[in-house]
Amino acid sequence: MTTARTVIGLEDVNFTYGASPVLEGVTIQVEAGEFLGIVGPNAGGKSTLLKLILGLLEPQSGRIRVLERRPKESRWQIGYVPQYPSFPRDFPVSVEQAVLLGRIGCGQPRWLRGLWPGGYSKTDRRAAQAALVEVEADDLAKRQIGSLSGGQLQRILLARALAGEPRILVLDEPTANIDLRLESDIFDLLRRLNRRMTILVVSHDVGFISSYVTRVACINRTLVCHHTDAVDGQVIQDLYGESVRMVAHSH
Amino acid sequence: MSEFFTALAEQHFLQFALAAGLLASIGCGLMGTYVVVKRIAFIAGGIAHSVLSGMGAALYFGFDPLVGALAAAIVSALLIGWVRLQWLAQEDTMIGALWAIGMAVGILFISKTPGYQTDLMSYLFGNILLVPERSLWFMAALDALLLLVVGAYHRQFLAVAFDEEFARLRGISVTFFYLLLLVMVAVTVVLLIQVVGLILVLALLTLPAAVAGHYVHSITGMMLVATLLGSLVSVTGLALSYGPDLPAGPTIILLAGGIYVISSFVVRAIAHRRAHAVVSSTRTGSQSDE
Repeated sequence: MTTARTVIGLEDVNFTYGASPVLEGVTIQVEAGEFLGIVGPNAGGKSTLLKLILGLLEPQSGRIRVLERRPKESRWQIGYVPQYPSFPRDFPVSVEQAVLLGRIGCGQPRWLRGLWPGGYSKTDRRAAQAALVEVEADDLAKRQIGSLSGGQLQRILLARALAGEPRILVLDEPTANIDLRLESDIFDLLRRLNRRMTILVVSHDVGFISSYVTRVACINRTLVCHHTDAVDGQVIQDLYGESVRMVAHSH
Repeated sequence: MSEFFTALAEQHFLQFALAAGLLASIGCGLMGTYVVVKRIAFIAGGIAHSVLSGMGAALYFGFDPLVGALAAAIVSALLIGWVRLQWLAQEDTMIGALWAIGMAVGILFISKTPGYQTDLMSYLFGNILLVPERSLWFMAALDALLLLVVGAYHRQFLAVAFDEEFARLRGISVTFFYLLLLVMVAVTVVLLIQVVGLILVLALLTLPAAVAGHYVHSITGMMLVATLLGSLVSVTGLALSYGPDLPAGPTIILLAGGIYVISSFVVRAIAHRRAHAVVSSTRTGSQSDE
């Protein structure tokens, strides 16, 4: 059901890369202010779902609306943090420059977005600086992107996504390559950000994210949603298709 | 060398050659930097070599070869760019094929053009001493165009070179800016063909920028250093070749290649020494703790 507060809506979406279906009959509404966790086994379609929402892929059938428009028209209002940096680590660019790229397309008329010539405005520089402060990485501004550790790089990717002042933040396994202590740091930060933006986060770690998110979407070709308190051993077992050992934990 | 500078004061053709070298350096610094950081040297090579088809056709039909070169460069940039963006498998083989087809077409046209066979060498290896004055104006105009476009769209080019997926999410048309980048590389190739010819053009496009990348770590810095380095090797190469009457193009390339090889070893040695210094300082540090 679509309501006025719906920011992302998928209706009966089907997608395939070729022979076998990756997503089948996926329907989900995400409301403003939600913190949605997306979990599921490897190759279950988690990243594909994000790419559809970002308009990087087109579904074969079904309807996707983001902020009441087609994904391609709305995606500049989404901050995206990829699982792996999709750039060479030795690229000659400073942290500051990389984060500023997240400002491209902000505050320009619709038909000129991405075609606007020239450099960055004072507002752009202030927003990039604020994003770096937010992820506690402003001391890294002048460093080369290649000199960062995995955890630092993850923060910079987040800052780049935040620099565009997005309404929705989409993260693909943001903590896959960093250790556990940093993982809870990042999720504490996401919890703070959730006060002003909708967040979608893909994770393989169901137990861990369930203490942060408001709702869990389980994807394994089809999609089932649960409220966080309902995620127990049975749900996880159904999803992964085999017995999964869980460790009871509280935060 | 001094012989060169005495001649330079008197001979117009040497002054033109020097100007051509300096004008070419601007293009080589600007676009060479993008070619190096985006790692599209192979694509640039394909564009450079298929330019021969346009030069050959222009000769055969009686146009200015430079105009033919520019047209062929732009067409092959768009074609190769399209292959890179749309071809799902073996894009490198496809680009290699276009590379060879372009050259073959050019050589066939030239062989059927009466009286022009002797010019083939100057297209392949350049002849900076024969650059006419109107070519200089043409080169200056192309440089101005490159500066204008890079100045206006440096953010978009950085975004597309750095991270295509993210650029697309920020509303940048990656296809448009990628093709624009290749067209500008094509323009630069035509600039440089005057100086070193189309076989050696790739070296002058990439080597100064690659050396710059050893020492400076920003796009703008690389552009500046690569332009200065390009000017240095083309002027020095011209001067060195003048006395013993060597062809200028290969002399310039040998100089650029030598600097690149030496610089690579120097950078490696520095990195080795630094790593050793870090390890030995932590070891002495931990020993003093005990």
